[in-house]
Amino acid sequence: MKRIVRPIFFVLTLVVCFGVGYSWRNLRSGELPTADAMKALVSGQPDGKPMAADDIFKLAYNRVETDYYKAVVPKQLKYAGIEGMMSSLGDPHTLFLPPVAAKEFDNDTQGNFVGVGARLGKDPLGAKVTSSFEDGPAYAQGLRIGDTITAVNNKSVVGMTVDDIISLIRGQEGTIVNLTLIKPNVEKRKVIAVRRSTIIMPTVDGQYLKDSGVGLLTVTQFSEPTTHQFDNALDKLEKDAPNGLKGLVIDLRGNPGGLLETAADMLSRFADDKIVVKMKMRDGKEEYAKTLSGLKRDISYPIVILMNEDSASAAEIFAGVLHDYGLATLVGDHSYGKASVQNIFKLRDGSSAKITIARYFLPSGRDIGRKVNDDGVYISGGLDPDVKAGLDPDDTTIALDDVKTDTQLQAALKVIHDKQ
Amino acid sequence: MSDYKKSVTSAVGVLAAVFAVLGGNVWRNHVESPAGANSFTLDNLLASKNADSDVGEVDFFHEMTKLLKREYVDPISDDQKLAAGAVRGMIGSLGDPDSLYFDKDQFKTFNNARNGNYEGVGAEFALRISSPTGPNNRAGILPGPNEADAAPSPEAPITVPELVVTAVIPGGSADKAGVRTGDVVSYVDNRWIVDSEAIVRFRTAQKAVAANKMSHTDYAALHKDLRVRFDTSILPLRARDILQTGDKGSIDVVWKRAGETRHTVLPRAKIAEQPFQLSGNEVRKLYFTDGASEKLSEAAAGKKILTIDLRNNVNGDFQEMRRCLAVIAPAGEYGFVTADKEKKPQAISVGKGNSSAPKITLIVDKSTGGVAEIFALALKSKGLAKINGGDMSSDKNVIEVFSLPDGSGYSLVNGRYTQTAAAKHATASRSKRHAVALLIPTGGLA
Repeated sequence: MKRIVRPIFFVLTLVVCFGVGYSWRNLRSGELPTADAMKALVSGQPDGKPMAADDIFKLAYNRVETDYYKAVVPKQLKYAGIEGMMSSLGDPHTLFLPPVAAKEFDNDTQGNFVGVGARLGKDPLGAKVTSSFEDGPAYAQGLRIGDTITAVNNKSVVGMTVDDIISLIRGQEGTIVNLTLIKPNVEKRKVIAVRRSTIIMPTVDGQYLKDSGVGLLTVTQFSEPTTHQFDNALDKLEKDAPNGLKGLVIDLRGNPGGLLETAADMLSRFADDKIVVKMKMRDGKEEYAKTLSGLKRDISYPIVILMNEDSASAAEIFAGVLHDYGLATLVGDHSYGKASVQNIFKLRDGSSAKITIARYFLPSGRDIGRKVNDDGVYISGGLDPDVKAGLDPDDTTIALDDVKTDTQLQAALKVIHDKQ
Repeated sequence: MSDYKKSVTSAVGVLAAVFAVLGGNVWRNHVESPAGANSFTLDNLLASKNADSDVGEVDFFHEMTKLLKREYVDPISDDQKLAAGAVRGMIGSLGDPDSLYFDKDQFKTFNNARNGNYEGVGAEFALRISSPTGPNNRAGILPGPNEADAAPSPEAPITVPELVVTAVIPGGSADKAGVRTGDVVSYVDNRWIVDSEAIVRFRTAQKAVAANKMSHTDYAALHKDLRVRFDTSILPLRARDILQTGDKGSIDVVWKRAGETRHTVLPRAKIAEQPFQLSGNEVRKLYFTDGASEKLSEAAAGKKILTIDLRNNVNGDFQEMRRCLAVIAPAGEYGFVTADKEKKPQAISVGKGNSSAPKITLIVDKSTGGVAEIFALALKSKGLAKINGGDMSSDKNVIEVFSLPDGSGYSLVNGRYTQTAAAKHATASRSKRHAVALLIPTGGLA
């Protein structure tokens, strides 16, 4: 008896070992092999698919690494592959963030980072300064809104992307960076030396417009410190107005969004225990974000929100929710139309994956998702303004939030005036 | 059983078990990639040799696929699409005007054109890096680290990829409209390809207005012009697709040639060129694609002289060109594929060859490029062919083309043709493209 049992047991063990080896790539990540894989085990043929996705990737990766005529950095090639893979989903908000970008993204949403204290936009000559933070080290050295940065540490940045220029300007806290500037209408270039430091980003700027008695709050982003900054700025405006505010303009133009929680917190100042958004998750489950109770401010003046095509995400939620509850009038241009929620997944090597995990709908049930054509040109989506007002993009004398030249702000003030 | 026997038995048993596990893994690799079995290692099974902080590329891809499938808002069923996306990302990251990813439709167009079947305006196009104000073959496209061009000036080099005509198909609408090889596309159907000239013009104006040599009104007009171009700009490769596909309607195109612009309206149509036309001692349309070498071999048999027309020939397959070389040239070395990195130049050699090769005359012009140009240079290097016609396109890149299971494909530059192994860098004609993100509104914090 024992003579027969032993060899059978031995063979069985070998079969199990073989099976373990076969399934290893599934088992090591804690799952069972798929039915297709087991079918292939028996047939010895892949199931109709000529090549597994892993192998397509690996083959192309090896080819580029060994056959391309220039040397490539393997890590960058790997990241480029993952970036391409994620963008193949066709969702512009599902993104791969390599370690450096992942860290910066973190800093941005936390509302602080190491830099010179400026916001930059694109410019044919380098980067345009779209704002210079008054508490920032660059402002102290004379960097102002409207300046153009043409060189960083005496190296020209003409033609580079804003992101690339920013990565040159940023660096270790305490080190010096030289910026070459062109100031509007000044021929001679100016070079300033700026010490990089930790910047707590001002995201809310308050301005009391004396002539109309209206308060203007410019919110540039919804990051962690924004709610606090918003409260302070609004308190100050209400104090500044001798007979109480006649109205409030909240300027969300160019606000790319940020944290949903921050938007919900800020909305709690205007509405108690109300639905902010309904989120539809991938399994069909619905979740709700709501405002908190007991934080509502006593507001008796009309509110107007200024927005444009660069107002996105949390900014659209903030504007859309106030609008849907009849608490604000929207003025300006249609907004961007980002109707999805992303989660950040931190990966082992310091990189991150930003993945769309849900779509959201405003309290009215509207889907504001952006539709674009093949070339990425806007077709529809976003919030529509109640009062449409534009800005002449070629009028270089327009300064945003300047009552004299900002035609969108003028339209907002007219709405408030008409409500008196 | 003796102790010795026992230990041998258990050792054999353990060994058998280990081999069974390995065997299972190898079998898995075999069934999942029968073709690429040799490209697979046991990395997947054995613990990654990389440190925890650096995840191997295949594992990374694999785990990312899983993460996306688990978390992404819409169900993902097509792994191959993800893989093709990854390939697209990797090829795109090279920033090389000749290493390109082609989606399914683009790849079809590309392969059709290789065999003489054209759509659109009847021309072939390629991306080229040019700089109107600086030398063309600098290693870095944008101002280099050692240059004293920290300040923007109209003289400082700027470079943006251009879409250039590499071949014009006789009888096609581009041909009828007088389009020539070397013409640059600057406008397609209401949209501009942003070029460096526009930027230079704007720079000059900025300087002029600062020096009070230009009125603010004129400046504002120029500003508007440039903004409109940026706002309605089209990427060069997208313009290529519009120009190369379809057989209905017509396209508004503005071409640039030696500083002059020409506006044309070109109807789109199909044109087919019969590949490999032999008349008397002359071969026309020798497209270097499958089967060309067999036909060339037949054509050359018994002939004393042979003329080969290599005009409008830019997209051939390198391996097929080598086979063509072998049927009309005797054994020997015909030059090298040289890379810009630490890699030994690969000789282009003919093993057996044709010892009774005919005397060859090649007809070439600017529309002779890529492997066709290499073919001509290789024959010329041994004095085997007389070259008739002017300069060729001076595109000597050796490009390999690969297809992916989903019907898409990509091209990859393997090196450049050089006549001697030592001539490294000597013919450097192109350099890395710096992607200029003109379309995506960007902004950020510094």
